[in-house]
Amino acid sequence: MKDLHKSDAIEVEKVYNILNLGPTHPATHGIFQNVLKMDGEIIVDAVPTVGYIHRAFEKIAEHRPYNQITPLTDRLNYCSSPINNMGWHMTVEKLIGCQVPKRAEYIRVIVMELSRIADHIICTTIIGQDTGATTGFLYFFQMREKVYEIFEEICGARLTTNIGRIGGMERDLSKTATDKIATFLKEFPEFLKEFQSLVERNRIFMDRTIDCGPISAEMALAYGFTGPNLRAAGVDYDVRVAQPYCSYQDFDFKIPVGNNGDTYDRFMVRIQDVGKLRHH
Amino acid sequence: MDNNTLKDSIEQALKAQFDAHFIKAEMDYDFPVFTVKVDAIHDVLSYLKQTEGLGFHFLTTLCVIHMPDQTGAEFGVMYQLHNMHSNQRIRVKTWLSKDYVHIPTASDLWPAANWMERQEFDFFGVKFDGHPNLTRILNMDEMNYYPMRKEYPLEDGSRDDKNDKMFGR
Repeated sequence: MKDLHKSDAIEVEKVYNILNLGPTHPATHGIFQNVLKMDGEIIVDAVPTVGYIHRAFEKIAEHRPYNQITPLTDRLNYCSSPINNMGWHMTVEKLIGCQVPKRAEYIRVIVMELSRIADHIICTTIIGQDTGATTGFLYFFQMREKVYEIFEEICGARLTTNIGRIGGMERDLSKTATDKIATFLKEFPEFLKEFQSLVERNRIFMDRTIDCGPISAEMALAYGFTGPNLRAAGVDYDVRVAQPYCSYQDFDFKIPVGNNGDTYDRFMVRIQDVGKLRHH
Repeated sequence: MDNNTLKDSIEQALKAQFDAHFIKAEMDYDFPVFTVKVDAIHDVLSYLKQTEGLGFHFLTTLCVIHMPDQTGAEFGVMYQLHNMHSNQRIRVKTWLSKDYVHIPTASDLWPAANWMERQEFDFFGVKFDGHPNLTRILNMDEMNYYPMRKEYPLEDGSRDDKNDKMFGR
């Protein structure tokens, strides 16, 4: 192949540009810095600095009783705090050897799946926003608000929920909460369909995400990927099925799996993961 | 295969393969845990990863524990491994003396170990020999101590304006 940078007449040395993206660039959700090595508009290397919002939870946790550590777990991923709360509760329950009532486990599953939906709404709509599809973001985000209203009814908080207690839940679902969940379940499929029809087969969105940042299955496993990002790479593994916790074995759900592990697959795995849970 | 049988079979394999470097196997709740000497840790990990029938191909997590009262074995390094096909999980543990906190890197076996080891170096000061870029990852480069070691207090002990004993601190 002819070396484009070395013609007979002149010799041009390849020059890369160094670009600092962040720490507070609007496209870096959550503050981190990327020092990029650019070949024109193509990123050839990146050095991320990830510590800007490290809050020393481990050190703080060493000094607190177990129940006071739950609010710290809210902040691990504030898009789906309840799942982190439950993870902590289950850890302590295993440590002290405590049996959780079935009803509490089912309420936990409801809460966790609602928060999974809220989290996936954020991921899927924000990628739309970042690729220029603002409309989908504005409409579908209403549903996230409804989920937070349900959380508010159950535990009094919206974002950083501190929901549930070690050994069960703090209280049963109220009538208002069950009504809100029922309304949500009725309204959600239509909003989801609307969003899907706006984005999924959208030419511009597909052009910008398909074959963008593909990660193979081997690479995903070697780098320790889990969850939707692992499944997008084509690995059929979901901990809810492989090692059911919190009575997940009593529920039926389909696990969507991707092919190429590119941005489009990571999007599709999430959008297909919402609203698929059914009790036996 | 239940976890007890799993523990016994791996214990036998490790004993046969590593002999004196193998220290003990135990059940920690439902987890089989294997303790080995630090000079064999890399061989043990690569054996567990690559041997047919074991195939612990996934590094779930890697972390350091500080036990200041355990003289001669103050720092523990724990690897949690996972075989997704057979859905088995195990832990491998090793202990280091505070006078020589060096351990071979596992980042050649799992790229995932790269950042995990940087984090443990950052917070506990354990040196992972052979790591391609052993620098601080979360704290700032200028920091001159390792904050997760037990001798470093959570807050400045000279302050008296933050008395919240009633909240359990």
